[in-house]
Amino acid sequence: MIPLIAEVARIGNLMMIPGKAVVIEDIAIISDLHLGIEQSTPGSVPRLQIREIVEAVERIFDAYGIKTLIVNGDMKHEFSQNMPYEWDDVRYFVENVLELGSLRVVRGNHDNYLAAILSRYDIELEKTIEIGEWTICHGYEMIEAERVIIGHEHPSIRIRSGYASYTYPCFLRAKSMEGKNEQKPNEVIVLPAFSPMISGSDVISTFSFLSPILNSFSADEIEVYAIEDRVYRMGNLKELRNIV
Amino acid sequence: MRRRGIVQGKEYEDSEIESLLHPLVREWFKGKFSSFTPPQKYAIYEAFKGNNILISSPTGSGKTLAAFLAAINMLIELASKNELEDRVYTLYVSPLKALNNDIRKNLQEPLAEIYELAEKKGIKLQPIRIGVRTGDTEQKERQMQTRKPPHIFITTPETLSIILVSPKLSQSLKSIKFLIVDEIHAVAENKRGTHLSLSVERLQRIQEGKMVRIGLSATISPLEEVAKFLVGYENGKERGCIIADVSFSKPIDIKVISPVEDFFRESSESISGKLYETLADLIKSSKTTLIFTNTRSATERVVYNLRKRLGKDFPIKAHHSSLSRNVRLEVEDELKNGELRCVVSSTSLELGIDIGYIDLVVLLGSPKSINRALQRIGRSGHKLHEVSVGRVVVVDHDDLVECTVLTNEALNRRLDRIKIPQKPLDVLCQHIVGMAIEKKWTIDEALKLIRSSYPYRNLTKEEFISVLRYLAGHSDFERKRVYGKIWLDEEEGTFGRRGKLLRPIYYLNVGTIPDEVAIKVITTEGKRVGKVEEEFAERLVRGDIFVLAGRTFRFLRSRGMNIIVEEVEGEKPTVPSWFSEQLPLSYDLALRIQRFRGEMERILNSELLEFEDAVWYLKKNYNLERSSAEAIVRYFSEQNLFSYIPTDKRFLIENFQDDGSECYVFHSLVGRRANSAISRVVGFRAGMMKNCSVKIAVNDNGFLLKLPYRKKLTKEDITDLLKPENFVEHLVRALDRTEILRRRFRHVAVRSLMVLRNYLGREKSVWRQQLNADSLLRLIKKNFGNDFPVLKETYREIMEDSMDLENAIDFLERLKRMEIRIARIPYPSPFALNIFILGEEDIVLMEDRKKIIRSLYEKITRLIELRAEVQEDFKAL
Repeated sequence: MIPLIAEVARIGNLMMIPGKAVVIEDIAIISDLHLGIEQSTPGSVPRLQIREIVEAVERIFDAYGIKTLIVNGDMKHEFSQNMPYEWDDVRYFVENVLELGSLRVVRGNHDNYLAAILSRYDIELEKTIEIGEWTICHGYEMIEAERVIIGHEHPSIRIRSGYASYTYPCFLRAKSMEGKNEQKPNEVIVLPAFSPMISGSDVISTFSFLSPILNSFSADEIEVYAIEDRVYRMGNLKELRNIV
Repeated sequence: MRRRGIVQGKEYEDSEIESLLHPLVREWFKGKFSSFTPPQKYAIYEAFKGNNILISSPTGSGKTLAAFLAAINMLIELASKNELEDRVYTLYVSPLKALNNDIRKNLQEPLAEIYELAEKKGIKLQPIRIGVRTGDTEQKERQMQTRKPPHIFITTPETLSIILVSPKLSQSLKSIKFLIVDEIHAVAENKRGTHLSLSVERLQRIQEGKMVRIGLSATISPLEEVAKFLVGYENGKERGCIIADVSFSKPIDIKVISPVEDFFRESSESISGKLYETLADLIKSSKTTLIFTNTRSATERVVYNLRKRLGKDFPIKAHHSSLSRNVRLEVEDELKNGELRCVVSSTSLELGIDIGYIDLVVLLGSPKSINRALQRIGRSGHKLHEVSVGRVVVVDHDDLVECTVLTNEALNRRLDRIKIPQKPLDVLCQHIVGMAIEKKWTIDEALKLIRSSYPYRNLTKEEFISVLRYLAGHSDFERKRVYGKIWLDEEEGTFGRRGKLLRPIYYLNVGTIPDEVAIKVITTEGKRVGKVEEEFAERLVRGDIFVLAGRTFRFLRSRGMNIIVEEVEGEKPTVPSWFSEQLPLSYDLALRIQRFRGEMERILNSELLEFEDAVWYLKKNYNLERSSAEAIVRYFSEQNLFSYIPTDKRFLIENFQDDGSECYVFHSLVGRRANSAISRVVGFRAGMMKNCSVKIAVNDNGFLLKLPYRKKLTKEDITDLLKPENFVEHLVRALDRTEILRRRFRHVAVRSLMVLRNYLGREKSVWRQQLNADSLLRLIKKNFGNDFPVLKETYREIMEDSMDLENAIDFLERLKRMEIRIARIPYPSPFALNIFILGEEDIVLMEDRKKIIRSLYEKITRLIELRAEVQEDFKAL
């Protein structure tokens, strides 16, 4: 039997780690950093998350012997322009990561103006990246591939205890039960949002997804892996919706 | 002559006042009234002399004219000399938008009569313009007001703060002669009042001449403090103010009515049946009855049941703030025209809307404060010398005791003291932005202006600069200050506005009432059942059960700005009751009930006195009916036999087991606000001490701690838990990750303009865009510490406004001189019952995120294992 509890959850050589990343050998994949989200919030939220994000990435490099980091889309937040702080934040992030290893970036739907900042580091904004049998893409449009790793969704689950409710970011793993289908991937891993400022959307009480890829799966094809001190395999979404 | 300091006013003779009036006004007045009313006798003469004045008097006492007559007289005088200019002479501010049109009518009438008189006498008068401006005023009218400013300008606090930055209109506000602030009692205790007080000081700054301040208030105490709140400071010294205290010129008749003789021995159905019977009888016996309930949902329930009981011959309507404006106006009109026999209201009819003839006010359940009781009862017998008749119908034993003490205090006219919030930093943020739009400031002159507002008199320069830095974006760790709303040059000691967008941002986001985005509630069949606040919707978890409009629903899922539910009957709600805005018991009244308990204990434990003597004592001293007196004596005797009576000298803690947990009921009768603070700290400390999770439940009369089985607290433990030392520190820690912290933080963040609820006309809900309040809080704490203005104000608001930190500590200090008694009993005592049946609030400590996800995980694992076993069994067959 697969051990249900473990620090990480494994699928073959792929690990879902509590640090909100997927690790395949010496490659770590994170998504949805939304750098600069503070500034895009109308108001005056001061800059808060950049340092913590960089520290978290450093810990992942250390703990899992990572050589390459892949940011799977939505590295920065603002769609329509590059805000002054986004330049600072993206640079700070990129420069720190490059000291640890190499960096590859997948284009997300928020990343319209990211290339301008990345070009000076000679980093390409890629549509998809292939790692072994996995295709890495942000997930905001359908893709022809067998096994994919996406972001975009910011999945989380909300649980009540007494009168308080708690939100946990989570990974999702969708696996088609109908067998091969040319129209859609057979297996999908969804990354949680890496940004600590995003609480995510509760997959238990929201019945449709943002990603067309994920929407092509039914609830009993989707497994939930909640993140706290470890990654907890919470069973499939259909049952989870019934239990909670 | 201008007087200094706050002084009690005096009544002037009619002739003294008349001698000051313009002949036309004098003639009009004498033709219409026989004499001046008490508030008029106090106020008019002083206003003429240019003295600030605070008038405290009941409705129907000629308050409006007391405030306006000097102003009207001045305008008539100018109009007759053709000297009326195009500017505002009198500014009237009321927190009640609904009142503004009434006031206009009430002024138009006397003016029309004076003009008629003038015409008869062939005196030519320039026309006097009256203008109303609120958030609802149409663009066309606004433009007209800017071109031709009204001489009497009627507005709301929020609109005033917007006019102050309006480049043109603010020009016509430079020589106001009279500023009239109405309904001060309704704002002094909250941030709307704080906001207004800063607006008034900003208005004061641009005055070229003397602006006389006239404040109007219902029954409130201490008036000296309210007066200071009205007039503020000048160069560090209190401005002068005359107090006209005519609050008790109206006789009152209050009595407690208990619908049943013994609440413990009757079923809840029979109690509610008798309750409605009592209400129905009261309605039948009077011409028009106004019933006050404490919540909106109760209002609906009462109307429904009374209609069923009384039928068509007794038209009954509801009036509360959730109803649309048109419905409310309709009800008000019907009331004025005498078409209704009864109106049921929560708080909406408490304030000064003219509601016509009411001969009986019924309070259903304790109004929780003596001031509120007097205010509500004052709505009956509208004319000054008529007796105000109030009946307090109680709903349970504790309510009976509370109302008995309350009516006695009200009859003896001992008011509870109000509390004015002290230097809220979020309100200050808004005003600094507003001030920066007006002009460039030096830090010192701005600080001086702000300190002249009473709530900010003790603002330190450090605090002020920290707010300036926050607004300028200096708290950030980079050089570019793109978040800044203002620029700040600390070397030169100046600040000013930054960016062109600041003015529209200020216009759209000014104000202190957190306005919630409404989420529609829809059933699975697609029927709309109502709306809930976004904040409420956001914390719902699938399967949650909540009450809406008296019905129970289960939350299934959310879809955009809608939530989908199914109706479930008879299930217990899982969502906290604190969302229903129940009124908290005032600390002063709570202490008096403590003393009453002591009084009862002495009588019951005196060997010379018997049951009958106690009943007689209550009837005589507390003006009770026999049945009510008996119910109280029985209630106390049972408590006395079973356990102890908690009093002002004895603090009682009861311990019993329930359902595998240790329950401790602390009979700290100090009101829910102080109890909230004490219970969280005690719960937090108990969790630390016993290394376990602790649940708490709180009401006005005390609180409950629930510890796991065998986690016993000794007397020494309990004494330690109740120490006042490190109280604030522990409270801050106990608040971590609680709903109240999240909720208040959101409100403060919006009020501090950290998160804009309305950005350039796009009203969008930022929180709903997945922004995580917990993380935001944690990161702010981590990066900037608890002194960051937004965070500091969040804690202040929770501890001082929502809870009652001061009195919580006051009570713990008193404990040092009290007997602490612990009673180990088999089940809850009569006094503990109401606390025991409450739902628990936020869980304190230990119950951490890890545990919660684990327990769900284990549940799922068990389920999976069970299924596997079943499959095995199936195979084996």
